[in-house]
Amino acid sequence: MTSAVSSLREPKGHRPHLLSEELVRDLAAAGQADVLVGIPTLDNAGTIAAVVRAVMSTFVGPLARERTLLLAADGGSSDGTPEIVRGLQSDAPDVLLTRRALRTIHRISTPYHGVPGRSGALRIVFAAASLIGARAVVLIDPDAVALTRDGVARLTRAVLDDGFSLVKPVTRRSPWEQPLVTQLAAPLLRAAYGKRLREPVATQFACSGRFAADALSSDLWDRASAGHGVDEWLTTRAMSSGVRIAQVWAPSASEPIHQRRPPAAEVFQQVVGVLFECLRTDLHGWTAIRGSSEIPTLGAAEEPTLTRPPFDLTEFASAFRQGVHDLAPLLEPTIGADDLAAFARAAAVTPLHVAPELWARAVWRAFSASARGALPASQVVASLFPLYLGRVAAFLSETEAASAPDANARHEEVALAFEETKALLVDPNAAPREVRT
Amino acid sequence: MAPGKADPLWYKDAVFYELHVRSYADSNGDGIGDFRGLEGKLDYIAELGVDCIWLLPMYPSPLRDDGYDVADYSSIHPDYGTLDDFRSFLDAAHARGLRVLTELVINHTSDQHPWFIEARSSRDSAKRSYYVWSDTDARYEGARIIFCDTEKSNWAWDPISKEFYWHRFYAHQPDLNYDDPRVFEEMWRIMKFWLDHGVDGFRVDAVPYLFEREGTSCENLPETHTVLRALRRRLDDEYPGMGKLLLAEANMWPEDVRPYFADGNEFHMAFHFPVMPRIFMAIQLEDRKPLVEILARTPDIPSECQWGIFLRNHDELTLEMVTREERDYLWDEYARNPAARLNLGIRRRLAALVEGDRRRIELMNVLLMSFTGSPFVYYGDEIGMGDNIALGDRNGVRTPMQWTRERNGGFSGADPERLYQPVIVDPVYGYEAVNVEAQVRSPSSLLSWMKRITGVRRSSKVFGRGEFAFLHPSNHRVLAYIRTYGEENVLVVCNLSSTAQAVELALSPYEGTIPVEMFGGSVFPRVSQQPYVLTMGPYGYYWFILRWL
Repeated sequence: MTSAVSSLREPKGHRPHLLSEELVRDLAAAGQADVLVGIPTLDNAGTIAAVVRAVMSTFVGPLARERTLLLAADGGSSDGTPEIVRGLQSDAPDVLLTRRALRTIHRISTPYHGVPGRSGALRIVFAAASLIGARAVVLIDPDAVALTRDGVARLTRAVLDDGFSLVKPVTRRSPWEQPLVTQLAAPLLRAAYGKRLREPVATQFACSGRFAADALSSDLWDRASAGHGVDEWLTTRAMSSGVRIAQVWAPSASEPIHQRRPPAAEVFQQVVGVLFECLRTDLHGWTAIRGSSEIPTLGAAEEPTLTRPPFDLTEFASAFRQGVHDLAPLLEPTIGADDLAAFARAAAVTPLHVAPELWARAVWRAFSASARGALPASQVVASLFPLYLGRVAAFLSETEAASAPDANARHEEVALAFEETKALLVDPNAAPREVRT
Repeated sequence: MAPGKADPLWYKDAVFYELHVRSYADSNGDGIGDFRGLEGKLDYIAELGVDCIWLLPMYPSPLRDDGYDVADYSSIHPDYGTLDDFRSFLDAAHARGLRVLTELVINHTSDQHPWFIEARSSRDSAKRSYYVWSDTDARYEGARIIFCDTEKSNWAWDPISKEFYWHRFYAHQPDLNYDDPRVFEEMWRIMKFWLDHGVDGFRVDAVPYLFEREGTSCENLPETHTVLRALRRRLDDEYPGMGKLLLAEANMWPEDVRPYFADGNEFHMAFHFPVMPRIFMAIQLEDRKPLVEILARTPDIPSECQWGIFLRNHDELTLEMVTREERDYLWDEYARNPAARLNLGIRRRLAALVEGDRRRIELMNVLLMSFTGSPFVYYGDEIGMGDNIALGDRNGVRTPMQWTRERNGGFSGADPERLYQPVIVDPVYGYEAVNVEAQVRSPSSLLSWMKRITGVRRSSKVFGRGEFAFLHPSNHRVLAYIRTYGEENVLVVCNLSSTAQAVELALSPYEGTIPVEMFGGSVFPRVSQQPYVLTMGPYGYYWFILRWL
């Protein structure tokens, strides 16, 4: 029955505050905004001033007519980062260049509590954006010291003007950089969801206010892996839900320089572990998809740089060979005896040659093993790491004399291998925990 | 294809828009609105934020009661077009996501209907018992006379068959006799005819009066509910899951209307008539008491049912459901000119009733859009159209829609003297001052504001489906309530007075929430255990969504 009048009762949805009193007051003072730029900070005193200045110059330049707010969500800096954010003179000449701001520029630095890590900061940013009704939310890294105002503006415009829900940057990154993206994350998600997103795990991105609000109300924040994998969760959420995704050519200088990178094995465990978990919890969202298509890419493409990271191929090859040997008891139930034998054969020759098809099959089978629960997911991912090093070493040595376009063409071979092996290995009607291999 | 079939409870969230084809837009220059003209205005209606159009009677009729005297239920009045024109309109409406309700005049026909002509032709006619006959006018004396200004009895003498016939409304509208089961079958055949054409439901006219029994008021009788439930059962059986709607017109106290919902198996919706005059009364008294009282005496209804609420409609502002003191007060305050009074009501439009006061028009619509029930907007009220009480009966509130400042208000290209009735031309409400064209171009117009409020209402199901709980601040000039649906809570605060007010609200159950004003998105201070203090301008209002952040 529906009553015309009820008595006031204890409302549902009561939960601890996400936003502090001080932040709510600051947000109320700032008022409704069109664009909220969020910067998760933690001891970034060395870089934050430059990043904030770049954002502020965007606010007085390309976004001068929008209502804007910069929110730095600080995880407990002890080096004075919040004070630097608050203390910067927004009308200082180096910020304003030759322009005057049309309206008051709002800049907030707030501490956040609870679960530390990037997800805690993003949650605060999304909550603030939801509260003030921001139409676009832009996430910027605190160490993107060479950030240009064009980079922020292009991301923002793709949301505000073109109506995209999630926009990731594309930079002129060298084809030899970030092999975890080129050899695994990008081809895996491309094959899974059929969308050719070049930088799926980029930590700088823009999204619509609605996307942020939807993500805010989801349960992803309660997942343990969201602490370090929130970007993967958001990307797969966008891909799975069918919202409009784009990528924007951003000036290469906007690519962050992470100053405190954890060891490669730890990064691999985090990134791949989260990607596998994302896919495992969304089997209905992708298993039936075959092939892939381009997604809108805005802006003019730029020539890639030719930077060759100082990877130690000998060390990679050595770790690969040792891993194939030492982890055989783990790898056999994970990727199967035949492929383990193929990796063993690859390990026995110099230079290394790990074919894209073999690599793609290993990844899908490792995913399947984790999805089936045959082995703990962390063990599966850990056993995959030496194979990854082998694949990277093979790629680097095979393209040692290659041009950038040729090296990029190899990335395409890998991506196609992931798509083709998915078609062979993944049951399109897979129900949860029943991925066939 | 009707829109949104997936949700059979669509009417709980809907904003309804009542209009008369005759009054809306004339496509062929004959001075009378028609379906082709209406079809041309569907984009306007959709942009208004409306979900469903309620069409006043469109059937062939002598038009002695504006079409409620139906002479043929299965056709279109030739003034309004053809059945093909109607189908084209219906398809176009559905293509825009708009549903369409038509009128089902179930209680009576015109005396020009073939059934009545045949019935009166002879006391032995096969259709004689389609109507209620008597050789005396002394039966059913417990039944009140509804149109007391024009009718002296519910019986009229038929000089042809030399007997009295029963009529609860005008004498030219003989009541159908549902004691003859053939009448039920005829009415179902008519419903099916229109449902098969694609209409989304019916506003069923004058439902309390279907049966007559000696010693009763001849209203709300058990036999009436039996018939209505049987019609509903047919509807559900033959159109399952299609969201077809039955809406009852029963101008009664809510406890008397309640049985029309039965156990959710009679009407989906019914108008809540007594709310409307109390909105006018509360604002004139500057006191929330009338509204609090009427909702307090409103009974629970089945969860799949819904009240329909309105500020004004095509009839007079009915004052039947108020006390004599309240009626006298409302007449004195809103109808000082005796010519504005009709039967037990006031025949004026919304804007004219509040002397064109934009603040009061907004406040009343704020109440309409946030109260418990689905709101009905009467055509023209969205731009603040006026009326012409010189036109007699209720015709003064049924004048042509004012589209532009051109001839006839853009309603028709006919010579003005050929219009079905004149457009409003007075300096305040005339079409040169009040028209759609001008208001579309002004972001601060009433029309633009109406689009905003329907947009805000549509942004949440809380208004259509949420629970409703009053707050009780000591300042009685302020009406405040919480709408709750799931985890969503909306606080509505209205200053009913013409002066600025401060109010302290006890919001402690919502401690920790952050009120966000829904029209502008402004963030207000977080709610605490302390009374929440708001200051409000004259006739000011707030809709706050209470966010847990």
